[in-house]
Amino acid sequence: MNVYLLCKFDKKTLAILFGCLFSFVAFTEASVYEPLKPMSFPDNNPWSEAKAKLGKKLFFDKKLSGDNSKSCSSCHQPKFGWTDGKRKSIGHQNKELDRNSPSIINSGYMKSQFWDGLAKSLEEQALAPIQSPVELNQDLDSLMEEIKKDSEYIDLFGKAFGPSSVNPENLAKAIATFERTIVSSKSSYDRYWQGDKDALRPEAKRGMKLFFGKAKCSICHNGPLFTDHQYHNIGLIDESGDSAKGRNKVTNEKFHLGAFKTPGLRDVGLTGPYMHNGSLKSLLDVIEFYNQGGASNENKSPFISPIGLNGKEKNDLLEFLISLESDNLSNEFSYPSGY
Amino acid sequence: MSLTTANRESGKKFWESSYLLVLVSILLLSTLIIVGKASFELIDKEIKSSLLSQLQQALPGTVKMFKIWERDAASKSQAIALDKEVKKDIFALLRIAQTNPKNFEKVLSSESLINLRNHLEVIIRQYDFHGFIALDLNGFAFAASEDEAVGHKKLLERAGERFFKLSRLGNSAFALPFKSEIPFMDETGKIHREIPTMLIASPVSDAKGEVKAVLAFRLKPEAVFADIFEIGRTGQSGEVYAFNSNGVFISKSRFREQLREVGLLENRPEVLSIFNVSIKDPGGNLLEGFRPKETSENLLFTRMAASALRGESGFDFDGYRDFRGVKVIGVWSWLSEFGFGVASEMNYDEAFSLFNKLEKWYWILFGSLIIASIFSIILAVKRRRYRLQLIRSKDEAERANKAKSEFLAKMSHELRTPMNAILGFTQFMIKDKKEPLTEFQASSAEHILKAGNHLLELIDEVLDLSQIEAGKLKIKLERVNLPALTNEIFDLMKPVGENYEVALMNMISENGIPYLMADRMRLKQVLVNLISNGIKYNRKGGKVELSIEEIENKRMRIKLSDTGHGIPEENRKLLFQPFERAGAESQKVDGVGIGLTITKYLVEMMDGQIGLDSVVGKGSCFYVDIPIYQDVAT
Repeated sequence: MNVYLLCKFDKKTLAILFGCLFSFVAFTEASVYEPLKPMSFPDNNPWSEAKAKLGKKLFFDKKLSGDNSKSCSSCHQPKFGWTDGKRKSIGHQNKELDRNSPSIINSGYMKSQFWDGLAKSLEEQALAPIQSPVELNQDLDSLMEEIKKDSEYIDLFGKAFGPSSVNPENLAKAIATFERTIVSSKSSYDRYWQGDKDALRPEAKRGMKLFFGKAKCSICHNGPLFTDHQYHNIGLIDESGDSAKGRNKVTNEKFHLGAFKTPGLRDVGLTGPYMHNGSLKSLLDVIEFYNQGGASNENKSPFISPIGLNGKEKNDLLEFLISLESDNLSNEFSYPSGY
Repeated sequence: MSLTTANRESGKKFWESSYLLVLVSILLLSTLIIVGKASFELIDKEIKSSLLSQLQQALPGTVKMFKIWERDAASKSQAIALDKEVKKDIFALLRIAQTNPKNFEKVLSSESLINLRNHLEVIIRQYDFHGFIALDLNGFAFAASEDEAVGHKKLLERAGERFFKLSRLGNSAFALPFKSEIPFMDETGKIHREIPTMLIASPVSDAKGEVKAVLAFRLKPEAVFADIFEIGRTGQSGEVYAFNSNGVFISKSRFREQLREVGLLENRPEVLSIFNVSIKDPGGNLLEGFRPKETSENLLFTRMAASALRGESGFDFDGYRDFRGVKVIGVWSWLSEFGFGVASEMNYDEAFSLFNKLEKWYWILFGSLIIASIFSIILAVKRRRYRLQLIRSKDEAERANKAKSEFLAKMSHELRTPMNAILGFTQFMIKDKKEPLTEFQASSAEHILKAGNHLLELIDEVLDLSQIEAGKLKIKLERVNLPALTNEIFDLMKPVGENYEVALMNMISENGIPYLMADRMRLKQVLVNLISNGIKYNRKGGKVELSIEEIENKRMRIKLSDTGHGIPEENRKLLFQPFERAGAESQKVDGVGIGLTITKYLVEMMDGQIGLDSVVGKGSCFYVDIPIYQDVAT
């Protein structure tokens, strides 16, 4: 084995020399730009204005919880980038949950839902937190009874799905349709690539190079949404227990132990604290975490290794991440009446 | 009794010790199992984690090198696309193509194309590119280094639209290896179709910065791109390779020769593993002669490829079959950023060879230990059983013999009591003067007395023998004056001799004879017995002669020679066995035949020896060797 290592060392030295040579030659941005496509709606739940309106009302309605104290929006508040701004979410009877609240922004583009990807679609996802005894703790049958008593809902369901259409399936479809309207708009980054070369500040431009190059963020955060829709163990030290297993709980694959979904990075500046356990408070903490190559962890992805960014580079990277913020995400949203 | 208890105790101890042996061996073995198992698990874990990091290292290293190379190629491509001369020619050609949409002959014969080709030829050769194609915004090739490439959209069909879309957005973008749509020169210098090629494309923008065309350069994947993956290879079977979203090799395999042998790859030098090897599980080891029944299209992807094509990054150290059907361990990653997958695999046997060797030796050691312990346990148990059996049979034999001796002793005693009565009253009858017996009665009584005396003698002998065998006969050694003893014996035996008409001759002088070390009573018994034998087995008018001589080892030999018939050689051995009477069948002599047996016992108990010389027809000479008394003071 030592012999192999020696051979490897020889080749490695060559590779490093090779690499150094090339990186001096390289001078262009190594970014691969793709704009965010318009939202596509599934065939079994196509877009309608009425559905979105119903979904919006449901999303903000506290009737959806067992004790009528919380709604979906309790953990997904528009003002916190559709999260709750807390390390971990607060559930039924104000008990802390296992994970950090993920943002609703662009969730319609994601190929799976929840940190471990348990739900394949928003429709599948929507009913789970309502029924979860630690989250909204609501019984679906009694929720349907409650909704049927509300004439406004009868009207909204009627417009969206036709007469006597109050059922959990349609409730989920309406919420999913509403959630698909919460998407990032154009950012400085998009405007830069669409011709406005002044849209990005010089720091952000340098940060972009780092993002797609040295800092190797783009290995997982790529594509129009800045995610590979995959699950990786990034070397966070987690509390033990079932929830720390991550994707492994769904697939039972050894390599998915402690692996969580790669979140998209558009509007990432709004959605702190970060990581599935909310352990990193700010984006700078996140940058520092990756810069150090993550904490030690048996199943850590091989791509997580110390980067060696200096203070200026960290700041550049932060500037780039902030440039991914939508020009008018928060402005274009109007709360439903009575919220 | 005490002997038997001792035997039992030693047996018990022995049982305990063999029990202990079994217990200790079981304890030792189980400790060995536990320690062995624990250390195995530790080693297994260590090896796996070291393998994981070893194989995993290959992935980020490979990806980093790929990125550096990609960035380099993109920079070169972009630099060319920004060249004013190049731009001028491209825009001119674009105008010609757009004004003559159906007639690409015009483009091919235009001066701008010749200019562009001449201009680019030097640059692309310098940059190691192998030709160029310019595409309009619809993907139509309107200029290229080869005529065949112009005038159609075949490039996008082959290379995929991703690079084109990204380039139109302003990126320098890659097209992963694909089979060339036009004839092209391969690495052996031959020009033919379908050879692997890849593209790096950059947008060509006008003065306003608007993208008007895409300029793409061809690269040979088997050159630098494929070499990048070779760097990560380790050991004898460590393989790092790249594959596209169809699960087909886009880099070289180190197992090209093996793949040719098993028919996965055509046996022609120009056929490379790029595009010609699907990462499918054949269902068995091809190198061992397995051939799948299904065609390649119907086979499933390997464990690695199936996971990677789902977009996952993972590893498997329990082993799975690779495209050769060989059991491998592997680490893989789907690089969504570039749209291809990378795998780093190693033969399971090589990866765990150290562990397997260790395990083998452990089992050999452990197995021989188990066999040895089982063997020794069986041996110990057998020995124990054998010894217990021995003790038991010895016990039994001793008990039986003791019972016999006790019975005889008791019987002798019981027999003697009535005998005393018989003999006593017979004597009374003979000697009673008041009531004399008739002649017939007297002779009968004499017979009774004679026979009774003989019977009593026999009883005494049997008693002696039984006492000797029961270990009850005690010998008390003392200083014995032999002449005094012999005189006493001769006085005793004289009437007997007279009775048989045999002369007794004592040749021992009174003086100068050393004292003997013996039991006086028993020595007397020995000599009386021998003399009486000498008399009984003699002929009428014969003689019995007693003499002595000093022999070696400070012993005195007492010799008794008779003038009887002599004892043949073959009978001499039996002479001292109980109940054997030499020559009894030819002579009318009373006795049961234990006299000499007792005599021999007695002599030996006094540390002496008995023996005889005999000449048939002339007589026998019995001799008894007895130690001379040693005065401690002298």
